[in-house]
Amino acid sequence: MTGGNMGRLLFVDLGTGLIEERPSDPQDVELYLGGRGLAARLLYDLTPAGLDPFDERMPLIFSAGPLTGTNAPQSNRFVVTTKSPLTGAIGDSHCGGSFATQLKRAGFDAVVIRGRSPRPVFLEITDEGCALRDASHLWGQTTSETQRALPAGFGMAVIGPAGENRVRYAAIVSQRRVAGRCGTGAVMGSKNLKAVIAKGKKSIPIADPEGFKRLQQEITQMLLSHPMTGGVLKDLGTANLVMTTAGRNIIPTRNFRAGQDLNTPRLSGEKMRDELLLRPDGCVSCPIRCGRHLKYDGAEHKGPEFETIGLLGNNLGLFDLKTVAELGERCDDLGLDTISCGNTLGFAAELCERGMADWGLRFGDAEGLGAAIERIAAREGFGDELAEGTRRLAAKFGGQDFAIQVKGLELPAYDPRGCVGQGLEYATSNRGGCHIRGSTMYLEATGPVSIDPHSRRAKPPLVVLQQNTNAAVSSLCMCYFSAYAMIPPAIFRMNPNGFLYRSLMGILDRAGPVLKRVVTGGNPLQIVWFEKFLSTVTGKRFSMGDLNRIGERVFCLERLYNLREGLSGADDALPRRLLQESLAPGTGGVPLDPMLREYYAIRGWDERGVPTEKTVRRLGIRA
Amino acid sequence: MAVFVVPPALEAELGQDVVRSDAPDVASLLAEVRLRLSVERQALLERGALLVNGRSIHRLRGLDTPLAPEDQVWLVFPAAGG
Repeated sequence: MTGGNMGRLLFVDLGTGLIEERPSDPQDVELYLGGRGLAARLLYDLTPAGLDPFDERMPLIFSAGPLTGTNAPQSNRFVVTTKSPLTGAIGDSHCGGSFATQLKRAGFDAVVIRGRSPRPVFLEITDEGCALRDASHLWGQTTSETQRALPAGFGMAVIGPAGENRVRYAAIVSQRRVAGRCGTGAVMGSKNLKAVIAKGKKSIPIADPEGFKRLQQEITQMLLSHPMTGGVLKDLGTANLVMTTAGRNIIPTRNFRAGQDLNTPRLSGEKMRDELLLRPDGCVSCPIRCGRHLKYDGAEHKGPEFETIGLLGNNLGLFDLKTVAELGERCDDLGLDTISCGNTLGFAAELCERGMADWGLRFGDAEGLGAAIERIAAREGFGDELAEGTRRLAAKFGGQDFAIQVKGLELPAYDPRGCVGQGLEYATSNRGGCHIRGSTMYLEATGPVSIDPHSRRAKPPLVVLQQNTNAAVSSLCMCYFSAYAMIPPAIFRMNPNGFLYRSLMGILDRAGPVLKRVVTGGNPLQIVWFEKFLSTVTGKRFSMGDLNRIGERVFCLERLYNLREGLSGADDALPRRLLQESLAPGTGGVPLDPMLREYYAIRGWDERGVPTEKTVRRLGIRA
Repeated sequence: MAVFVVPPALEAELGQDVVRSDAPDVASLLAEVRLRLSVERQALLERGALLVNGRSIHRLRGLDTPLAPEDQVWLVFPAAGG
């Protein structure tokens, strides 16, 4: 057994009730690590081309990573992977909480669930055995009701009514954390699977326990003392982004028709902290604790994440934090992705404004928009239309130019016209419009450095580097937030309006050739903690270059899956609004085409966006 | 009039969430704001990035960046999340 991995996968057939353990393929583990990478490999291998996401043969894969359960900081995440019913592309959704740790302690690196149960069930996984249990009494319950009704002491992943009703952007909820994106909850619902719960006591093998312990202490201290992970994120949660994105003119406003509103500051992380915060909250083994518990009107509430504020708040013209928190909580309870839901509502409100639909939805109308969320989850009335997502709505009612999605996945809360590299990242993301596949906006617009956010210069190699790194980190199942600590604290102390800072940014603006060398060349050094943790846990030395190569392999495999399922380079696109409409004087749309050509070339893909045989061979991908 | 959107950290001292000003450029606007802040809070003006209509002043004309009516000036700090 390789350190970090349990060496076992659980296969469950909900149709026959057959549950069996199988050893994991050591070569796949070496090439893809776990989490996102291993699940992509399994999905590719286990499905015939063209399988409908709701076909009972479609696998739903829950996977953990080699560091999960070791108590390495921010390592206790799981990934849910399937073919997305929203996009038709590979869909994976990531989540914190305790489920991943419990799954590993029960003895499994991943669970592959296929088939459709004849009646609602939940899957119970322990180190003493696994079983399917009747969940008829839970069907129709919200995610919080379901979690309260399930046996205590387990890590849980559950769906709400939206998943049961196959809303195409239904989420899976674990405690108060959400695997929100890509509609994995709808696939779970299509299988009549209400929940997966796990509990165990097995220990996770670590090759170098002493080295691991030293590294754990060192990195925990580093994260806690870093101005971003130990300062801003800890103090304000992800809502710290509200003021900065508004200032940068990139927070979605009225379906991406503007980049901020003078009311936006009412939704800031500072307001949330000063007026509503009860205490911060975090996942197992995370020193940052970016989650928020609020207290108001005599009750405790989950504080909204930045994306929820951006899409369900600012984008819909709702500027009251309590209102946004309540809409976010309701989405969680119904099992809806707040990003896709808020984006879809914004699109629907613009359709109504233009007279292209008559659902009575209006920006700023909290009551009407809240009622629409209920209808979406229940697929009731016009909610049945909105449950299909923006791309299908646009195909039926028009408005493709302002349906803000990529590959069918609704965009999150960073308008790429003010961070054009993020636009390239959105367009090329294998799961569609996603911000966390590389978080390029951090290096362009929101973080302490700002590589010219309105210029395409240096962006293609930067995006490739970010995407590869993210693919590796999410195959480790580590939280990408720790990567924000990779920028030295000294940079945070610079005056961003001063000469020194301006000079440094001038150098970074011209860093394209260097970045390209970093992406295409190997790097034998161990520089950051990701590869160091992996080395101490597995007992095999990994360099930063090794990890980036694994990330590139994962990204390329996902691309090959998408191509096999009928997607093409034409899907690496942005809606016309983001390409052609300007947000402010002196700025324009995203210059996607020239960036895309360079991006393909750096990746070793042809001009149609297809990985060449040479690239596939170089990466050792079995296609 | 240009608008300076007041960061939450300065709101208490300025007593408002936006400052409207006829200042001809960013430097003049900052001077107006600075006058109304304690020394401690003034330091924040050096730590945040100044943006005019979403663009960093260091990519415009620095503190000499001219301001037109309706221009918005924001002072923002490094942020991250997802």
